[in-house]
Amino acid sequence: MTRWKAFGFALATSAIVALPIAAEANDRVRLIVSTKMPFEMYAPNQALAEGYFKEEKLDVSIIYSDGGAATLQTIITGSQDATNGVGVLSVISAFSKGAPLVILGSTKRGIGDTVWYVKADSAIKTFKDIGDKELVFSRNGTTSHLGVLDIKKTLALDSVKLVSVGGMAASRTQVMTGQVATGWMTPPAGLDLLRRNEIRIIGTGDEASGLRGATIRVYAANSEWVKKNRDVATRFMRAMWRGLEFQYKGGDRAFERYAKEWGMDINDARRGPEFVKYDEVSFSPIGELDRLVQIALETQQIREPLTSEQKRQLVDFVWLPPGAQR
Amino acid sequence: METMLRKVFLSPMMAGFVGLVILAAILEFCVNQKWIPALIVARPTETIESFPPLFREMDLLGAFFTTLGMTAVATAIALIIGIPFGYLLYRNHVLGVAYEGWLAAAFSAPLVLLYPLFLVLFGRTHLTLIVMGAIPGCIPIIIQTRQGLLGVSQTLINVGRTFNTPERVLFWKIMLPAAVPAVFTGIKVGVMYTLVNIVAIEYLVDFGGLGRVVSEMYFRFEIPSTYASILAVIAVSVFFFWGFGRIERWLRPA
Repeated sequence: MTRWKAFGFALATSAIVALPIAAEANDRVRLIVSTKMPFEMYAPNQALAEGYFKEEKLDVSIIYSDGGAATLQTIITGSQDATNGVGVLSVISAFSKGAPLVILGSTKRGIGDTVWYVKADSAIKTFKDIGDKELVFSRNGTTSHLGVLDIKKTLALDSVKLVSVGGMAASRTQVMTGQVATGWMTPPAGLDLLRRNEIRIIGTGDEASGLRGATIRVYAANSEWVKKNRDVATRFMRAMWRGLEFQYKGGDRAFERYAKEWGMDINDARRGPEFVKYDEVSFSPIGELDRLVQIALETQQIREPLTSEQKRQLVDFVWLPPGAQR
Repeated sequence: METMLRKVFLSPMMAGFVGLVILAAILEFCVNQKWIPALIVARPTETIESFPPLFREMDLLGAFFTTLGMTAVATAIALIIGIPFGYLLYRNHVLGVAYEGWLAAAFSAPLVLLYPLFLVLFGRTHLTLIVMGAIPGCIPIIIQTRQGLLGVSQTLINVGRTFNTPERVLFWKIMLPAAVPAVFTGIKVGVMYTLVNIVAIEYLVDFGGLGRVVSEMYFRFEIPSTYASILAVIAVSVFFFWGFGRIERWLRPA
C-alpha cells in the first residue's frame, strides 16, 4: 500500500511539474533552407536571432540543403516541414507527380539577382560577345538554368553553349581556371572578386525579359503538415515576414549578422538590397504561374500542363501581410 | 530432361533470380499499400516501364557504354599501376611496410570530394573522370597484390626451387597463380570503387554517362526513371564482376 502511495505521489508531482511546461511548450517547425547565402533567404535566421519565432510560440530549427530535388525530398518524406527559397520549377515538377507540396508564398520574383561574370582579362564584355563559348548555370531546373534559357532565347545567342557547372563555388573555380568562359553568382555573394577587380560582370538576369516578374523561388511546405498545422504555418509565415523586413530594414545590425554568417565583407552585405530588391521579395503574388508551367513543360520538368484545379491546390497563402495582393 | 530442368531450376543463378523477383514483388506490394511512398521508391513495374523512354529520350545505351568505357579504361590504368607497384612493395620489405599504412589511409579517404581540383587539372573532360576513377581503383589492387604474394605458401616456393626453377618462371608459374585469388579480390574491389567514383563525378558535374542521366532524372522528379538508370549502373557493375570472375577462373582453373 505504501508503495502505491509513493507511486501516486510521484505521479501527481510529475503532473504538477509537467503541466506548466506543456502549457508553455512551443510548436516545433523544421525548416530547410534550399541553399546558402542568397540575401533574401537569410530572413529565417534574422527571425530566429531577433526572437520573432519565439514571440509566435514557435521552436524553429534551421538546416541547409543543396538545391531543389534534395530539399523537396525532405519535405515530401516529412522529415522537414517547410522550406525557404526552393526553385519553383522543382516544386511544380514534384507536385505534378503527386508530391504532397504546397507553395506558401513567393521568395523572389525575377532573376535580376543572378549575375554572370568573366575573368577581368576576358575579351567578353556582354552576353552577345560569348559567341560559341560557355554560358553557365548551376543545374537543370534551377534559377540560373531558367535564366540562361531565357537569355539565349531573348538575345538570340544561337551558338552559345549552355553548360551546367554546379554551385557558385564550383562555378568560381571553373571560370577562374579557364575551364569555362563565364561564371554565375547571386550577389552579394562573390562581390569580393569584383572588389578586387578579378572579375567583370557581363550581364544580369534582368536581360531575361521573359522572366520579368516571374516567381523563381518559393516558400513551400508539406501539404499534409499545413492541413494539420494551419495555425502553426500561419504564425511561422508571419514571423518569417518580420525576419524579412528586418533583413532589409534592420540596418547594420542585420547586415553584420548576415556578413558574419557567410564570412563576407560588411560593405558587400550592404549592397544586398541593390541586387535583391525589396519589392521583389514580397510573399505575393506568385508571379507568372502560367508562364512558369509552360517553361516546366518546355524543359520536360512536367509531362502535361497543370489544370486550373491543380494550380489552385498548388498555392496556399496561409498568411499575407496586410494589404498584400492575393 | 528432368535432370536438366532440375539443374537449371536449382542453379545458383536461378536461385538469385527468384530471390530478386520475390524482393521486387514485396517492394511492389509495399508501394501499392502506400507503406512506402512512390515518390521515394518507385514501383519495380514502373521502373521497368520507364526503360523505353530512357533509351529514346536520354540515350541510355550511349550513356551505358560511356560509363562502361570509362570504367574499363580507368580499371586498365589501375591494373597497370597497381599490380607492378604491389609487386614492388612485396619485393622490397622496407617500402612495403612504409607504404601499406599510407595506402590503407588513402583507400578510406573520400577522394571524390577533390573533384574541383581534378577539374582544374584535367578540365571538364572524360580524362577527369578516368583519372578520378583510376586512383581509388588502384589502391586495393596494390594492397591485395602485395598481400597475395606475401601469402604464397613457402612450401610451394621451396618445391619450385628444388627443381632449380629460374626466379622469373617461379613467379609466373607458382607465385602468381597462388596469389590470384587475393589479387582478384583487390581487382574486384578496385573496379567497384572506380565505377562508384566515375558515376559520382558524372552526377556531381552533370557530365558523361549514367551518372548524368541519374542526375537529370532525379532533378526532374522522374523517380522510376531515376531507379531505371541506377539499374543501368548496376548492370555495368555486374558486367565487370562477371568478366573478372571469368578471367580469374581462366587464370586459376579449379
